[in-house]
Amino acid sequence: MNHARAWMLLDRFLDGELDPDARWAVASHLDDCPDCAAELASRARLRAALRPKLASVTAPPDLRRRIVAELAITPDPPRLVADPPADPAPAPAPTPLAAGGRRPMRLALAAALVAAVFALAFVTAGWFGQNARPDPMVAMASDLAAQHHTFAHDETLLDVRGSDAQVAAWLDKELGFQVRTPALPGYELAGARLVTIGSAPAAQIVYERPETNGPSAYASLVLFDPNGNAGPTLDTYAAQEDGMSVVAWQAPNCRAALVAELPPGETMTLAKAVWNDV
Amino acid sequence: MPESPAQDRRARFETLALPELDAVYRTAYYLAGSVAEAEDLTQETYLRAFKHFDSFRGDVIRPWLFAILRHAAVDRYRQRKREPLFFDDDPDGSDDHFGATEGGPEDDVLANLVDADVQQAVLGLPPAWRMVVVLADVEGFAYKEIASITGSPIGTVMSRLHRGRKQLAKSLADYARAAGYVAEHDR
Repeated sequence: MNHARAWMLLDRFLDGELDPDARWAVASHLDDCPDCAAELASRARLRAALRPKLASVTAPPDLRRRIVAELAITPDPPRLVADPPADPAPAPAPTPLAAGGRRPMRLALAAALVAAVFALAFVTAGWFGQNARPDPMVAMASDLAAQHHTFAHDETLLDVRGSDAQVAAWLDKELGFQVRTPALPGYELAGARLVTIGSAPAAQIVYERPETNGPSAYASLVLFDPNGNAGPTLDTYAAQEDGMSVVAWQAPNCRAALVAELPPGETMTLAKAVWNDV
Repeated sequence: MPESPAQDRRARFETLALPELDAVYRTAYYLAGSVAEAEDLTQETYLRAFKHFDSFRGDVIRPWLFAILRHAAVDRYRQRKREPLFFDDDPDGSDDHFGATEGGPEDDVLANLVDADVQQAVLGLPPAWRMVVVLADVEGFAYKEIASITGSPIGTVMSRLHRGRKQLAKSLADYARAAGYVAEHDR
């Protein structure tokens, strides 16, 4: 690794944010380069000295008491998510892509659908538990699931809420790429936020399934920046984690993934309904 | 006597969330810049978190709690008609990304700076940089977690962190010089 490159990576080296290869390359450069070694040591000393000085700010003693008192008089909110029923209501059946006056399915899409069915067969056979997939896939699926899990259920955590038009206008302004907010059958648009998944910038569009269509539940449609260098690396995969399942695919304009609180088969059905519309 | 589900829920929330009180307050303080504001923001964060506790289903509450803090701060400043999303804006100017040395103060100078000096230097950073510097260097979040909390791409996090740290080192060195902590031959 040359000096300029190593110098550039010093912060990430110090933060433990390099992959093993880069880490090793920087470390071996440090052995040969007194300038980089001195700079690294100086930054490390600075950070070590600053941290305790900044961390000495602590909450005033009575703040905890006030918060606990306020929690005690806060009524228990209505549960946002019902306890999962043994047999969740299935999502409405999607319109087949090749029928109903939509544009004919393209060959690549047909191939992707075949791949999807294969991936699904693996899921139902339980490959996920056996780690039969390469790690990055599993990590990506798990990132997507975590993102959904943490942020989809709380509308105060969305960057934008409201109607189709409001969300579309906001995404238009904030994203560096064009997306559409397709209608997800049985769900209503709740809002969107900008996210980073596996170091790829993406838009997380959150949908809520109203109680009239079964127990209230959420789904996240994640659209990855086509100019970014990351995102799902396979055309299609499905994974199941913690009551959620994830389906990712290559849409006409960008890579996309759908996370839903459904079994993989039903998430796939839902994904197919918006397959080509994003 | 067994506890009711509501008591149980509250107890679970308190067990998970209250140990983070100092960290949440501290970050609120660095975001808001005053004790009174930091207290309000912390209280608002805990009430919101409690209200939405059902949506938290992971094991680690910190990123979730800090994301709520960020949103509470954004809403607060929106209501006050200040700059919306004020800590999401990068200052203008050329991006000297990954440029020259940080040029921080020497060890003996650092030893002379009291906590309040360093805290003031952090409060002097542009808000967008301040937030990531505090999350990374005080609270120890990983880049990925910071990206999640701030809702920004990881590249933006890295760039803000770099620029924020560099500016902080520079302000500390300037401050030390002005306060006379630096020996004559260093001027």
